Amino acid sequence: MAEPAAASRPAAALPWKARLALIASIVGPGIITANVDNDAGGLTTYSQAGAQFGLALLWILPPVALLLVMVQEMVNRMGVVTGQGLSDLVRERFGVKVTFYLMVAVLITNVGNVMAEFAGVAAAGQVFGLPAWLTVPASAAFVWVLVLRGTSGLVERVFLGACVFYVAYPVTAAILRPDMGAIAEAVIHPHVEFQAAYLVMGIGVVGTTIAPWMQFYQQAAIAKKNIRVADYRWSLLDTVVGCVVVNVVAACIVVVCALTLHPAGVRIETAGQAAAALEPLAGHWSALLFALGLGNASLFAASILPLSTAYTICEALGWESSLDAPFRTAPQFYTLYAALIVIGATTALLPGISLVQVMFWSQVINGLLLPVVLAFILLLVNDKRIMGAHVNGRVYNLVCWACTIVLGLVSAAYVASLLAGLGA
Amino acid sequence: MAPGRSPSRSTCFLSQLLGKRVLGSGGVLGRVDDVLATLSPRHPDIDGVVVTRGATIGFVPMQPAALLAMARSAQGTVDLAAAQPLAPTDHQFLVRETLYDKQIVDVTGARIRRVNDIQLAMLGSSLSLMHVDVGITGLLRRLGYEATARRIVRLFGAHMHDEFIRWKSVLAFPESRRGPLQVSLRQEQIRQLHAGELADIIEELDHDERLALLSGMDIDDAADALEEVDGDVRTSVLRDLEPGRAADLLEKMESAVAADAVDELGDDAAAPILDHMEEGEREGLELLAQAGERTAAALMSVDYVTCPASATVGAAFDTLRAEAPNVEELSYVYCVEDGHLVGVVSMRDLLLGPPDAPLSTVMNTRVTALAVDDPWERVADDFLKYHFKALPVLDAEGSMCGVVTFRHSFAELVGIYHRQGA
Repeated sequence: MAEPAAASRPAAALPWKARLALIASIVGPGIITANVDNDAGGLTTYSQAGAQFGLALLWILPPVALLLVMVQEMVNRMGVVTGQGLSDLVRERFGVKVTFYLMVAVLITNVGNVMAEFAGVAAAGQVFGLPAWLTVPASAAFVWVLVLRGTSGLVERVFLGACVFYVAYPVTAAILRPDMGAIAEAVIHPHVEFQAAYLVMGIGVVGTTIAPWMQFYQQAAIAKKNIRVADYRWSLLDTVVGCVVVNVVAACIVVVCALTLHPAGVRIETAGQAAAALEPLAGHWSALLFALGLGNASLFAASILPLSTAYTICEALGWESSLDAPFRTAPQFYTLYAALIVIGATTALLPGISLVQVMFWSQVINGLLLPVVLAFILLLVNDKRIMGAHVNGRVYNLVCWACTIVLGLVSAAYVASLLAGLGA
Repeated sequence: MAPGRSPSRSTCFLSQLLGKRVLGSGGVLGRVDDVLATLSPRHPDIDGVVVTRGATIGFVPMQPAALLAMARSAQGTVDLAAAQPLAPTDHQFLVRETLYDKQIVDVTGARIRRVNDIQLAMLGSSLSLMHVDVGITGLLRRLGYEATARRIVRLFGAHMHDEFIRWKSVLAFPESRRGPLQVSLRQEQIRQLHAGELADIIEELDHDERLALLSGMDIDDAADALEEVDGDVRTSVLRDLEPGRAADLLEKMESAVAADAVDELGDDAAAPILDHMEEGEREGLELLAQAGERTAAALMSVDYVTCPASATVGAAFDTLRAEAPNVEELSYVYCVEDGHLVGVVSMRDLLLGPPDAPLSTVMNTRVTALAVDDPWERVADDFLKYHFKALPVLDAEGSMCGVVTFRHSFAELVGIYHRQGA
């Protein structure tokens, strides 16, 4: 077979440049999703884990990263193969009733998450001496303008840029010159303590790292990219890199808090407190970097969550969901988007509500919803009518179901522990 | 847009039939899983129900009156003795499987909607598929909250509005891996949509739906729509269409757009498609594919009408008529001698010229032309200065190799026009 097009092309221009362009067009959703995952709730949990237990919980991060890769890989694959979002598939496969109640749950969960993000913005601002009444409305306005006025390409570049800010954590960790031997030791020979507080914190780390909104967001973002199945490996790379990077960042947070707050016996409840507590122990710059990281993470997540939620729900219920559409044809979409931002920002400003409480409840609901969403994903990804030849392999499937059941138990245990802690 | 707001005796909803418990002869219990319909020129007619109990029991033909009665009652009765194995013919389709909860295109509103429910109505002596319910009332009905919601809304002195789409306006996409495509792709419906509207719809569809639509529709309409579609979507569709079909589409598409598409596809994906193309078309595309970025050649089309300068006006009209199906810009006939452009005849010149006059007597010999490597700024300048609808493009040897039309270059050049106008 002749290659008519190739014959007439300038030969030098192609291979690596074309490949680079291809990768650039595919990379994004996986890295963005994973990084948004390190939001206010995540940072807080990792800080607490380091402050309370030192390096003793560090070992849990590699297996969590593996779990996260598996889950995100499945939705990624579904997005590439079907070109449809997760909520779209759920609606077509399971009908309107199941979808409707799932969407109600997603909405409630994500309202909680958005509240937690704006609370995180407020906490980060306070470290810099900025009052919440300034930072919260300003960040809400920023999110609003960026998403509604920016083109989708611009928004994705801004988001990818925001990922770079997570370098604040590795930098903070590097400033402290940690003992790499001790870190390696903590990961390779886990020191598991069978006491309630330790286990609860461990479960918390798992629960906050794998959140239900991530699956909806990543699959929708992938579906919009029109990636062909043959290029799936690049998309897979995107997912794997994202999940690994995010866990490295999480590890750095644990290390920073383990080296500074843990020996000093400082107990913290929020990531903002962690940043403030770092000031006398690790110096001014560490504290500022830590707060900068928190502010960036919260703002980043606050930009994505309302949009992702509005997309997910409108897609499932058949309402027009496009930033290109005017309000007239997509009223539900814009109303949901606006309501999420307004509710999230307003709650963060209410004097009686603390970040800890908001985050606590949003994590409880996340934990309850996650196994349900995972079960849906596994049913869909194994449906030959939907996935054709790209269903899970038998061994992989077994591992996935096992992990889902384990995660379900972990989530149930986590929620139970949080609720038990509430009662105590 | 609210037909059948109050439940009348001759209409019902699919949701009232699906899942209904049915009692067969001999006390066998089953559930209605789907209904089977036969395509007819106007509205599909419902033939009966598919009953399941765990596994499918079979298809039970039913009379319209019995179907309506079943929709109204809490439990239905079916004659299981009449049950047959479910074997839809080419003209039959399962309504729930094909339409329920799926996306459809409302061709009247030129929007993609999701099916919440389906309204059936007596039409003559048969129960037919009348409307697709895409509104909030359909959603509430499925959830079992319709009556409650209507009551609450009435408390506030308002009414809930149904949103129905007539079957005539519905374009559906049965799962393309199976199922009858003729349910959906009725050409006269697609014709109701402008190329631009169709392009918007194609962008919003899922990948399989795009392929189903573009494989099934008229090739000229498909090419027109595909020209307007976002580049990424166009590339992914061309890549996964059957190569012969993709080649036909590329040939019908405006050549500058087609060249872009070939470039975007990359060699591996483009090769099988180019193999299916006619020799001349392929060479034209390859020429365009070599164009430098932001040059006249990148905006160029290789479809234009040429005549020898010695040909008569009448002969030029004949040539125009013959070329019209393949050429976008018919405002000019280019007079070419040995590949060199010697003059241009506008449509006005042709209309005013005597039919037997040679073109050399009516043509304009002071030709404004672009070079292949002219930058876009130059192209925009010339359009602004001369107000031509198209400009010929000459290669390094001075041979004519294409035209840039104002219309097709507008999107690329609008930024430059804007700057120059300001």
